[in-house]
Amino acid sequence: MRMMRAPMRLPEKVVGRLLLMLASSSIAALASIGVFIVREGAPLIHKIGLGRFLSSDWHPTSGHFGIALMVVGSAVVTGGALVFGLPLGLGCAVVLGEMAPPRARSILKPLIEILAGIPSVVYGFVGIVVVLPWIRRHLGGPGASGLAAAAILGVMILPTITAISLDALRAVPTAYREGSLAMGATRWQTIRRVVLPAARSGIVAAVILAIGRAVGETMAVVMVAGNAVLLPRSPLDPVRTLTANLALEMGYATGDHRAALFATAIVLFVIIVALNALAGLARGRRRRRRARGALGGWPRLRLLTPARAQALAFAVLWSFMAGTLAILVLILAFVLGHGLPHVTPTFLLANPLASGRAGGVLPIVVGTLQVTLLGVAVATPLGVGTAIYLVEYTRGGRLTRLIRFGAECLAGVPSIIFGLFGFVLFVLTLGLGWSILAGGLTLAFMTLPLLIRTSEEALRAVPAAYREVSLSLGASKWQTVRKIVVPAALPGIATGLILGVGRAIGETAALIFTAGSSLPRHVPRSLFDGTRTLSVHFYQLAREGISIERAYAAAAVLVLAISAINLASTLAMERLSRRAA
Amino acid sequence: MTERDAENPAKIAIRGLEVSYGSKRAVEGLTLDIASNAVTALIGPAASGKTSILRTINLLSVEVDGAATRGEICLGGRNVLDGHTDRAALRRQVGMVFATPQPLPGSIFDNLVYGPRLAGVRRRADLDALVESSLRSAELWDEVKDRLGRSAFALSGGQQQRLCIARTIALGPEVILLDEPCSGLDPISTLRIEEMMRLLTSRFTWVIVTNNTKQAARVSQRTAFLLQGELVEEGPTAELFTTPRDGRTADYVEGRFG
Repeated sequence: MRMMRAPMRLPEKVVGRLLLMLASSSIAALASIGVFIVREGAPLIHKIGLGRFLSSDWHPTSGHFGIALMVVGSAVVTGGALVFGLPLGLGCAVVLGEMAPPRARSILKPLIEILAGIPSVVYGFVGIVVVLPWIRRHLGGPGASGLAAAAILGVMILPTITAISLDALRAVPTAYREGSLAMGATRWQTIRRVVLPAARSGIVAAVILAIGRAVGETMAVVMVAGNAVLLPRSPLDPVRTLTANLALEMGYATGDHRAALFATAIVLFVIIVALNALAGLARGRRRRRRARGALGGWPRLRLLTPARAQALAFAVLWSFMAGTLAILVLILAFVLGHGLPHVTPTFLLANPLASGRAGGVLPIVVGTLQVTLLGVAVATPLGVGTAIYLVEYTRGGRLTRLIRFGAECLAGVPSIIFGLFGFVLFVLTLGLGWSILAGGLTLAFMTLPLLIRTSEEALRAVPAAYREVSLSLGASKWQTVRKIVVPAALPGIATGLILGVGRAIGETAALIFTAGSSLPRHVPRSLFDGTRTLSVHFYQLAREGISIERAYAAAAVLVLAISAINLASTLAMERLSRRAA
Repeated sequence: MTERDAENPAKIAIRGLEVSYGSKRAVEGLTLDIASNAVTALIGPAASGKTSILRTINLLSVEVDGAATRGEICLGGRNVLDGHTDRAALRRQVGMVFATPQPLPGSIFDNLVYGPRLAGVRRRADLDALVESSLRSAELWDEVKDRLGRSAFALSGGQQQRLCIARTIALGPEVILLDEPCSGLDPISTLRIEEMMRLLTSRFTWVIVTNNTKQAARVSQRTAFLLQGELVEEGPTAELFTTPRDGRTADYVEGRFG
């Protein structure tokens, strides 16, 4: 008889174990970040006491480490960002999910995603050259202010709100809409009374995650918020956020001062983990509540006929979309219009001279590519392995939930905290110094959650039938994964890699303290050389006013590179969906 | 039992089979012999457990749906439920065709050699021969012989399903399990598949789950009627359809319920 005793059993088990090890990497990363910043920061809180740590007295030179004013700064800026970002972001989601015809949606959605890809230093720069002068001229004050930071951050969190709300709207069954329309409701009544209430918990999750993003944002805020440690009395007063404080003082802090900054990072870390847990709860509730009806009471008093109300609402929502697109066009036109004329062969191919005032950026571009590729190369096996484990080797038990929670928290951890962590672990503890290696490894931690999520989605999109067919033809589980599932998911996984590269190229805060910020004189010769990445270089040029022309040129190169990358990922995704159809 | 059984011994002997998913029991203490080199039809209304039985014979329910099992399924004298079965080898011995035609991404050729390659067939000439013979068996060779390199998705639904059957035959199986293989097909494609099964009946042991009692009557030699996870009766198809012993069987095959 051909039926033999299991020769394949052992390798299958080994594969499962190996994948579990890879899958633990996100939890391990989160835990080690937690451990490292707690080890550096907690002793100080213990030494000065929690009360003084939470006081409003921040004078590090005379030993006062109270962070209250920065907490207020972060809260004010985040709240303000929601005022701008929530209506625009939710409006865009409703337009994309419920109103736009499919063709318009397929054009509009990638445009909003470009907004998500623009590096935060570029936002900060646009803030400096456009928003601050406008505020000075029309509203008064110094320009750099809580208002400026809130406006810029609002645009930055908008794509997050749009993307996650859109997922929530998509998850509402079509039958709800058809049922409502069939009972004589207008489309707007259907959206307002049925679709939005049914998607409510997903939208709540979107807002919570956007808050996390706003609290954690660093570079853009540093560039436009003014950074004075004051209690703001008007929106036009400067503020300093927790993250800005880290970025501004980490470079020179020593002793207790440095410990106090790590203690600040602990506070940020706890806030982010708590927000992610909250968002997870909000999303979990959706599943349980879906069974119950979401219909609200119908209004007795109507000022407008349903048709007029719909026309009005749709006009407002489309204007939000138009406004968002206008912001995108403004940023792109501004950066490219001013920058492209200065992107010359010399700029791209020469070594920098005179602190970047003259010469080019060749070593910086090469260093950026090395850091980026190293980061993605390290993160890819971990991310894809984790996704394979989650999708193929677990049935949604407690372990799966823990791994996914770890990945989601990691995705929310502010990049400045990755920077501090990389600085302590790679630069100091492992003795790598400011180097391509330290920067690349830090980026690997940062891009890991993105790779996990996109790979997971790609694997889940592979029809279950492929797996059953493959198994029924005598393939083992691992053979099925290797020969059928992963190849079918490859375009989606590639999209994740491309997005990871885009994220890495635009990253600044995590690299200043790991890859280094001193200007290289020549193309890096080994992975142990330090390098200034293009984003960091751009930040230095713009913030220190070394050369505004060259800052524009660097911004143009960054934006072009990242837009090209986003476009490539959109195309890859389209190929995927066309093949699936 | 009857003399017919003596000359046509049981290929698969199911003894006291229970299949459950979590707390839900799908099959309760089923005992059934499946005759060698004949077509056995499993019929019954929804939730009768017929698909669970089918998917447990090749352990797919255990691997994919997380089913727990008790009892025995003996195939060639070995109990496949003893926990030591090499699943890959079992599935080469017991092929399966699914309800919807499901080609794998790739060419017609790729689909046919997927199983044999996994089983270690490497030589191109061997693979070519296998492809031709299995396509001829499934009555598909003449239609696709000039485009073996084309995507399998370019075939019509009926052709895709015959490709799936050819792919299963290429494994060199002894048993072929069919899970409502014609539920998504038009009547003409359905007839072609039934015709093919008639021509190949004696080469394999066939087990077909079908919701179409007329199809069971057309293609099978023996039929088992199941209800809520239990066997009501089993016998030669002609007898079961004309003179059922159980009133519930009579009701079902005459279309009074289900």
